[in-house]
Amino acid sequence: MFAHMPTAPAAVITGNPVLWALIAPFAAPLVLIAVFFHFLPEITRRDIFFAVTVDPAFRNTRDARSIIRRFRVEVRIHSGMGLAIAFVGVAARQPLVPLAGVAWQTGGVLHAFLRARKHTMPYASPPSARREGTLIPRPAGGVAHAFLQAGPFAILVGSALYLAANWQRIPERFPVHWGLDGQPNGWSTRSVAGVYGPLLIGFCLCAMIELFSYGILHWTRQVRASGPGALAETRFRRVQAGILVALEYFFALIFNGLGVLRSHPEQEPRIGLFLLGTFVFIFVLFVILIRTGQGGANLSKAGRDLELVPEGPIGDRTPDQCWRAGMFYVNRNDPAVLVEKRFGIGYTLNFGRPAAWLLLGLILASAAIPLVIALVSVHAR
Amino acid sequence: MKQAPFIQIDLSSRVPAYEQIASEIRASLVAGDLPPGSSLPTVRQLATDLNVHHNTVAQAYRILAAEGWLDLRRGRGVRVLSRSNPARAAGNDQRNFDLQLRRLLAKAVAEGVSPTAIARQLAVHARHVKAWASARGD
Repeated sequence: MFAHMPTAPAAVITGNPVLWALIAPFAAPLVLIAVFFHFLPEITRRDIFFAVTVDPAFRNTRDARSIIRRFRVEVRIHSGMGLAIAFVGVAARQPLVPLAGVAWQTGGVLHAFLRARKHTMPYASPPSARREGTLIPRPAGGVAHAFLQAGPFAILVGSALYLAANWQRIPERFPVHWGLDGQPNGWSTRSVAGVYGPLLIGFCLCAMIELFSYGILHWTRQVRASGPGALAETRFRRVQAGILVALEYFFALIFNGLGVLRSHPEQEPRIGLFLLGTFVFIFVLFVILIRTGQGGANLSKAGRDLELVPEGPIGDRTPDQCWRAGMFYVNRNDPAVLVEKRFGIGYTLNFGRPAAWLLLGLILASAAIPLVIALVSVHAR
Repeated sequence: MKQAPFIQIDLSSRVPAYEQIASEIRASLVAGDLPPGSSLPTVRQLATDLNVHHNTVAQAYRILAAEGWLDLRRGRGVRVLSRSNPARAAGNDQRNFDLQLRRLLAKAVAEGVSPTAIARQLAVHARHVKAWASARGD
């Protein structure tokens, strides 16, 4: 991507729109990550603070505010450093340096999180031994839901049929991968693997996401079964599953676009539009996630208010000691395969359950299939 | 939106979890929150929600099935049955019930629950039991 960049000293970078266009793909995720981590303490359940179960009133104390303040300062410093490194890398035309900026920020904010967690540990409060369970089965989706879920697969199958009908229009050799500057850097040949491979990748990806979407709706724990918190939690699960279905459509449309490009080699790929679409999609996702909060904590007034119960905090009904670094949950005594994350929003695997390892194996397999197809069908020249 | 029926258990209690689950579901059945023909969550789902072992929930379901409340036939999920009227309690069972109720009332008074509140709650539960019994023509 840097080969076609005009030579320009870093001093005049601010006046160079091409340089800005090249920096944007790195700067945008860095800024989004910084914003997300800034809001991280606000989007967890009120009785989970930096992955530690605490009394809900704790977050209003001076100590809690001090921990948040320090965490946010560190996030700003590391994000600023990451941006500066990415900026210098693009200006110096060193393609690996901007990635180092992303790595700096990621490592920095993770370190800030772990430090904040360590400072929160002394305030940990034993969670309530009281448990709730709803007595109605989780509703199965209706016909409309089934149609919605089938959509991405229908798009991919439609694309495959279109390519089969226009097989002769596909050139013997065609580009399948492009740099950020729009220049192709990977080619494939007119073969079954070369033409249908990306569609198979899309199919596997969508099937994997679909499985997780189903898992969120049917295999996760309902932490609260009563009160407004329960309704907020149900809405949260639906939002999460909906986001995954939207992600399936996003991938299906990308792979569908790639398919169309094969039979219309005269068409240039719109990399800028693709990047803009990706950014808008991720931005909307961030806004939705921040507005819902973990477990629907921000969806209802009850979720936002302090939930003081005499037996102690409710949390997410998982014990603190089973969380490794506040990110990985390992509890073989917990029947749940998917549990609420304590780092970020959504659900994560319970690595104490064999089914979780099976799911992880499926994820790795779905990642390996594209690699095998790429090795078989994509050539650098 | 109407609140779905739910149960609460206390894992720090000396009463075994399966007994608590069975008691809570039984209370919902008597209160009419779970009409005949309605479905209960699967063993796996309720165990996940309560964070207890599958066997704990399965045992509670088996107790209720033995009492004639639930149908646990494989492949059909867990269904609430239209329970036929049980035989009149034997003298020992009646005395056991009285004893348990007296102990429970004494404990509540000792813990500071006002007699008015106790009487009100007893009246509420008595209404539920009567409604359940009259629905079955008892």
